[in-house]
Amino acid sequence: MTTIKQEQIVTWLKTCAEVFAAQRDFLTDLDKEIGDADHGINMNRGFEKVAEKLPTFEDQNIEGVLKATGMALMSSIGGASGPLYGTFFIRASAAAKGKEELELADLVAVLDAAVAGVVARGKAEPGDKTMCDVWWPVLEAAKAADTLEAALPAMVTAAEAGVQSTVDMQARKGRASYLGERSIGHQDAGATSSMLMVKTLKETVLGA
Amino acid sequence: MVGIVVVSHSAQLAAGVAELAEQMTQGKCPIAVAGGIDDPANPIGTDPVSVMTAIETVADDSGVLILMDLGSALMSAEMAIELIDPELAEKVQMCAAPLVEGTMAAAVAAASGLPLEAVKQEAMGALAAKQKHLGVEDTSSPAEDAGAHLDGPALTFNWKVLNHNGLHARPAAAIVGALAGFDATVQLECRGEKANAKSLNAVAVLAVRRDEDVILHVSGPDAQAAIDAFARLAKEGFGEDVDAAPEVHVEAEIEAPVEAIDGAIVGLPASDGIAFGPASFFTVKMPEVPTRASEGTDAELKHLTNAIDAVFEGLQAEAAHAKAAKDTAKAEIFTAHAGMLSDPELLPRLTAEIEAGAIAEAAWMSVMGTLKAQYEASDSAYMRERGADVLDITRQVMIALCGSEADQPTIEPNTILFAEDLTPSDTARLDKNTVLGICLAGGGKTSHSAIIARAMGIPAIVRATGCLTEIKPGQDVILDGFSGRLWTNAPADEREALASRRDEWRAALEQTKTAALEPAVTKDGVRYPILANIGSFADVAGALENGAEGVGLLRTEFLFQSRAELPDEEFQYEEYKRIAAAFGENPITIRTLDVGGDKPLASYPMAEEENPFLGHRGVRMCLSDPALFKTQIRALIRAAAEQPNIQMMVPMIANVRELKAVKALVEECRAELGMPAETVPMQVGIMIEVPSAVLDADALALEADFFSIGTNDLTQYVMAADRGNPQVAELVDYNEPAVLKAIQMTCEAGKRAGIAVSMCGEMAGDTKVTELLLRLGISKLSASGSLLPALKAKVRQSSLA
Repeated sequence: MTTIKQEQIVTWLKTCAEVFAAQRDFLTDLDKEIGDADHGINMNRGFEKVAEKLPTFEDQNIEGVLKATGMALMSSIGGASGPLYGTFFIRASAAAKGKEELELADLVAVLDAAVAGVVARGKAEPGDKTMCDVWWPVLEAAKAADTLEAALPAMVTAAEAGVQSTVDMQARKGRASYLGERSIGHQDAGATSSMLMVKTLKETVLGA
Repeated sequence: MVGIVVVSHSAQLAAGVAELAEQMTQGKCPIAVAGGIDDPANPIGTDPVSVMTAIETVADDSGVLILMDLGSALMSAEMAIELIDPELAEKVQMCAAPLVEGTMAAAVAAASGLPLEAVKQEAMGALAAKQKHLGVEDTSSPAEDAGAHLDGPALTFNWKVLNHNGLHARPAAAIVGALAGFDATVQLECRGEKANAKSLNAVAVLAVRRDEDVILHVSGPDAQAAIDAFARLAKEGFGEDVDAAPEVHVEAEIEAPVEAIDGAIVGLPASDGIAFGPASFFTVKMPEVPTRASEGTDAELKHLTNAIDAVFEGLQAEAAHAKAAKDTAKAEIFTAHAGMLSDPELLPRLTAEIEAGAIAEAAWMSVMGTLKAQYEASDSAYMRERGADVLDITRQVMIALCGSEADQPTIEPNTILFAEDLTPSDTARLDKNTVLGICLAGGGKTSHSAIIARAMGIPAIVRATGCLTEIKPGQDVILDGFSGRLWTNAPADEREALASRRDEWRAALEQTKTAALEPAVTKDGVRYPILANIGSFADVAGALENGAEGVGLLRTEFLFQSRAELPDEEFQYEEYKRIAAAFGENPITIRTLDVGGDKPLASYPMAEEENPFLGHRGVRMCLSDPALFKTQIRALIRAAAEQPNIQMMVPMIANVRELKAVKALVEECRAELGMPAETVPMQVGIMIEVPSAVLDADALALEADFFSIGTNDLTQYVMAADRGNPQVAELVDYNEPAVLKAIQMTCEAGKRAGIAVSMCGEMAGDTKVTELLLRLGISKLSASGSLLPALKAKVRQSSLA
């Protein structure tokens, strides 16, 4: 296995829809502590929409699939994650131009563009307790790896560590920032949903 | 007028803020809301697509200001701006002001006609009153620099451009917009080249890239202020987020069609729909530069400026016309073209050519040819596509110069149009009823011709390489605007599939149209005319699209508002005639001026009254100023002479004496104009809104040609409660038995006298009471255009038998 195939991207998105349906209440509970208690509902709604629309675009190349996913998420998630994940997928799509499969270098390029898009959209900085605190280490892990087989598990490890790192952070973005120091001690919901997506990608490509 | 968009996580909050603002501006300022998301179980959130729709709803040339609550509302708004047409996006700004205070201040500023920047400034200052009241220092705005204003030739400002795409269209527009108002000469220098910083073309063509240094040179009385404004703008990234990653166009275009298909030419889909038909070729010729000697610098320059002025005026008129018809796509394009023509940079270049001995036509072709080449050499696809716009205005001015009006090509009806590219003005002048489809060898999805084709619903494909050489005039082809394919030789099964998709597409279009346009007939077979209430010509298109069978109430206040002087007879006559003509033979009921202490007019100062609702308003005021009233009546009679569908309606009639006085004035006007009722019949009806008119309806019915019940005022007067007063607002309910009784009495009086009784108040549009009203004897209903389809549907469900 040296590439991620188009079919695997489609499977990944379908599985994400299942994962977010199953983790809906967990994510919402995380968000309840320091946010507006809608992250699980939002992610579930967004990926339900993606799953519903997938049959209309699942034959396209990776670029097309990612773009359609971004558009679907953008207009269905509802919270801040809508524009953020929408931007993530739309920028990823542009970096996957014409691709039917992704080599490691392609994956790095796609992630790089996607993460840059999210950072620009949300204007987050490291330590702000956001999904970017997961995406930055994930991107670094992907860049450091030599093969896809090595990259995906390393990305999952980095994502999990990234989620953990948000526990001790004080939120400086989003609704949680109104809580100031009281936001410390809680795991960030957006970081968690990002981690779940990375984990699902690894499991889709390499098996659980 | 600047439009306002309110974005909130909560639909209720957004609607509430808009309601507050509308109360302050009496609905004068266009406000659209994007609140909540489409999920009944969890409605809190924001959706970029609905923000985009809201922007498009209120957009016109003055721009749009977006006010947001927080968090994702900001990101959704940013994303919406990336999604809309880039030309529109240039005129949209997000505002950091607090939602409620900011929206109030912005709406008031917009309603008074201030430009976008000023509206934004007002919104940003909106917290000041609250802060002052609560004794809080305003720390948000730094003190103005009290630097001395210098008068002198050589102020400069250096800046390194950090914008990802350099000073492309949007930042260039921001610079031009910021500097245009200053009395100063401003030049932007880059790589040793200088461009007039008040000229959009010049700044765009200078093509400053990222990391390049620019120097702004300023001289003139406003030099310091201009430098300050530029410095502020530069520090704000010329209106862009310079730290953001470069924008990716969501609708990224495929560079070239990849796969060839047997029997079809593959292009890019540009406008949905499928057309079968013969090909016809659309060629427009650029008039040739005539061979003649120069008549001298002054004369040549005069030729040229006359031609430019004529085209400019034509474009402005077309823009105004398109705007009145709510055709924003066209209006924007014509406005953009007018902007290109009035670019201050053009004249010096043309003058230089002419001074060098060129005749007007040659100078024009040379300068515009250079400009087009500069656009086409741009790195940005968007800017390259503007080359077609330059070509368009080049040709229009050439036609004006050469006087070759007859060069307009004629298009065979019911054909598919083939061309290299269509200029926007060619596309805008196409007749959508005879052009089946458009196939371009060039063009792009964001080119103006594609945008107009979509707006007109004509199927179109662009970049169909080879379509001009492979297809012969008259050859039968199938154009598939969904997939971007032009079939020259479709296999039988494909042909069948295309035909059935075309039929589905047409049927869907047809169904949407007809349901609204069909008459409203009750189950037991009685047809009720459903008419529209409109406030100006701008509402006409919307009313007709929604199936209005005439106008039950045209408020004429729009002619009198927002102007320093009263409208003269000629102006009113033209306006009434224009609106009435749009409705063919269907009746249009024009209400005479209905203002008073509660609805003041800038052009007609009125005394303040203790009790304006019970004061000198409506017909009472008009009768006290016969000069004012007769001007309107004369305009109405003259318009009715040409548009026999015009009826006159008088508001606030309280007794027979008033109506007789009005009719005497009408007779006076008829005599002055030589237009007696025998040759120019015009019905004169009255609004029933004062309780005394209800009680004396039998006597009034003998004098009036028709009654129209205005439920808003009638309800307030019957219940003696002001609907603006929240403590008594509950009483202002047209379902009150006394109000219903008043309606019934009016209907009965009308019936006894044999005159029609219609209703034009808010109640007429309320589908909960439609059946009741028909039972009471109302014979026509008139409501806002958008309510008409639902109202017709309700009538169709009703049975009075």
